[in-house]
Amino acid sequence: MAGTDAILTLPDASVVIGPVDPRTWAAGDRGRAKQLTRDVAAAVAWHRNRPFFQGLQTASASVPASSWTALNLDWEMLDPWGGHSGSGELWYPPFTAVAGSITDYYLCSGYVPVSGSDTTKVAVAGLIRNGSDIREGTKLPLNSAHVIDPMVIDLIGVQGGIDTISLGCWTNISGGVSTVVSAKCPSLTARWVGSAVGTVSPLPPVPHSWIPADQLTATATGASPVLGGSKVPLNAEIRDLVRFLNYPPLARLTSQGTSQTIPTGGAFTSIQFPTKDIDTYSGWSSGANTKYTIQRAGLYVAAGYASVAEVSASGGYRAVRLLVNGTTPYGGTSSIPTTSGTTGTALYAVRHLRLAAGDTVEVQLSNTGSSALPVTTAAGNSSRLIMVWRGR
Amino acid sequence: MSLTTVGRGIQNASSTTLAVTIYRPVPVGTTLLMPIAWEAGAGTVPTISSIIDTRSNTWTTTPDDSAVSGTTVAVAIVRARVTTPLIPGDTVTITISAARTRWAAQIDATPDLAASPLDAHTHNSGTGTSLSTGTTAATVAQAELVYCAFGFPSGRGPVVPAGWGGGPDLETTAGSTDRALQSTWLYVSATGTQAGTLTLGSSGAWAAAIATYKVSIPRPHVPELPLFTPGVDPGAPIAAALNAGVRDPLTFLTAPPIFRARRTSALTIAAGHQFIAWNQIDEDNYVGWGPSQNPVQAASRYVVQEAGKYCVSAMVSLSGTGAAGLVLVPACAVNGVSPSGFGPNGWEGQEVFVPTGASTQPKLSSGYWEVYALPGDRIEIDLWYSGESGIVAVDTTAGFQCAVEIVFGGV
Repeated sequence: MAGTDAILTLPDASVVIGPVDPRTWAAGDRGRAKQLTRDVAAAVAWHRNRPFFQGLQTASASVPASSWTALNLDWEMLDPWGGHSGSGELWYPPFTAVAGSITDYYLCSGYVPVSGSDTTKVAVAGLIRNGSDIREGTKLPLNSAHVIDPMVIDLIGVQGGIDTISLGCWTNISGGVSTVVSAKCPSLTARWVGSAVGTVSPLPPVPHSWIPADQLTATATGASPVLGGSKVPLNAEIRDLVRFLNYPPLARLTSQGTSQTIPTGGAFTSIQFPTKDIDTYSGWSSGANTKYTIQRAGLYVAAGYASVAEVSASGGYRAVRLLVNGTTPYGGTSSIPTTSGTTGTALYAVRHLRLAAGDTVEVQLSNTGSSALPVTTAAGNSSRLIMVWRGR
Repeated sequence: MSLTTVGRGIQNASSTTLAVTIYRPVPVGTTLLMPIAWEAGAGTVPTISSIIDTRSNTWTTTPDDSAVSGTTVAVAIVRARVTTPLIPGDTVTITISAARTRWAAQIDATPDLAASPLDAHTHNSGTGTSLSTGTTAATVAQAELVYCAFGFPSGRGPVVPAGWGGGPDLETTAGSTDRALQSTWLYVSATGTQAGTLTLGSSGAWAAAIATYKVSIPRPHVPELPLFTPGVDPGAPIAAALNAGVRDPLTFLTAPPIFRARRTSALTIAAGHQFIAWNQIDEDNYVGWGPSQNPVQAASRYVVQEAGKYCVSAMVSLSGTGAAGLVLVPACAVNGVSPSGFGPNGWEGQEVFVPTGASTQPKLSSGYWEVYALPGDRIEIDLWYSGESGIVAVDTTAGFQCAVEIVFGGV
């Protein structure tokens, strides 16, 4: 299953199977329709209709104790690229390049509502890449009083056409749990957000409004030979802009490698991210590893994930938030922990933030329990900060 | 880009009024630019008391700029945005505070300008054959209309510079002390300073004013696939093709519809479902929120303007003392129901057991969804919480306020 049902066809009958790297214009080039079709029409075709999948589980499924379980998605809400088959658990992102290395990044999100009665146990929503690469999400205590509905969001690099993405769940309650499919249900959404390989580009200018007196150029700017007109550089207007859309600012920072603990007392504490998995525009530095510094202004989706191990019966509550420029908070989630047990707590703060170049974003956790809590550091459950540029 | 003269009028007698008759239809949304020249025996630019047209459109009476040249001639530029169409035969009547003996006024119409278009302006005066408006400050928008008005004695045979627009001059015909008016214009596509010039066939005292106006670039719609056709004629067809095929789709893709809002003031709530009414709109570039979009329930609804998938993030909060078993859930609703088909009032986000303690303990829950919506559909955030506590308020503490962010994600 390669997930290429939705091949994009341009008006000139050429086919788009991935983001096209636009040409570099040279002085003297003419603005031919064929070139504009290849560069602009292909970019519009791809970026207006980026690969996307959304599926639901509408029949309850059992999740055994202490084993990550991929959930079947029996209802394809949206699968325009045909990467999902029947009621299976796997979604194949479409191929966009020769396989063999990570080619694309997907922002994946989901929910897994479950019910359970043991307040010392937890359930966790997760994403599963290729059946074994687990990305944990919200980790919440079970309680017979209500269903819980943990969430997961992560930025996942894939080899298009080969790798798979699934929605998963884990619990440590004896006998496992069943997913809830009444008034809520498990769901998985995946959206292409960028290429894994590309060219770092300046924030594109507001596209030029053309008048008859303008002149196409490769890079030259200034007044055109015709009064009132200007020279419009296509390398900036088209090439750099399309490259920016193909390869926008994306980041995935994790707490792998930290020995940090979140102190008691309730003060919000910035989480250290010693590891960067993805950082296309170099917004992270090891010397200030709690922060992502914006390199290109815009609207970003910021997903802060704070995950800590618990000290049994520590009590209190945990709360996560994003912090911009060290001063402006954006709240996320707060929760009580398990009444005992050490499995841990993990919470999200997910917001769309309007950010300027130079702004910083941090993930902070508040802990009012009786013990300091170690930040988790495994590949699958480490705390993380996801940043994705979404618009000017 | 176009500018068309729709009316011209002269006054050969001493009068405080001049009525200019419209001779071409003028639709809604048109901007009317009216240069006026007067004899200036008083040595001043006249004070304009009123400008009234047949259809009661609103005109500026303070000129965008004006100038006077000694006691020979004065000139000014005034403007109106047409909200009620004008038809041939309608009139525009200018009234000034003290009579002038010679007047000339022209009305030029353009559909291209922004609603509040005035940017840079200046004026100048002198005597001779080489007229100059002076140089404006740098303009702020890439695309602007540069518009000039020159007043001078009649019979001078003005020559409009190459590349500029401008029809024949307009002259009074009293036979003595006659004055002339010449307007010129130029569309530009880059920021920078601007100046207008005019050449007279013989010397005279002159006054000149210049104003630059921002061109309106409408919010683009969800782009269709651009079609570039070989052999498009140079000039306006190419500019139009590039605006439609390059500017508009790339503008949409880089600046899609975005809505961000919060509840910053007190809101009384009850256990169960309720849509959150937003009172602080941080961003709404496609104007999906507001009374015109939400005549029934204004505050909770974002009305989709462009069809497609929308990425929605939201945080809901409670303020008050919690209780054991208290859970809090945000949900995303399209047209009042869950787009997933599961959930009575929306697609549920995280359901969490929030802190049970005092109001100082933050009680927060978040969600993230991607939902498909058509123009006119409404996206709302439902706040649901269980009944264990006596909480009846949302948290308005900075950072913990209920919030929603909605961003177009694709077709």
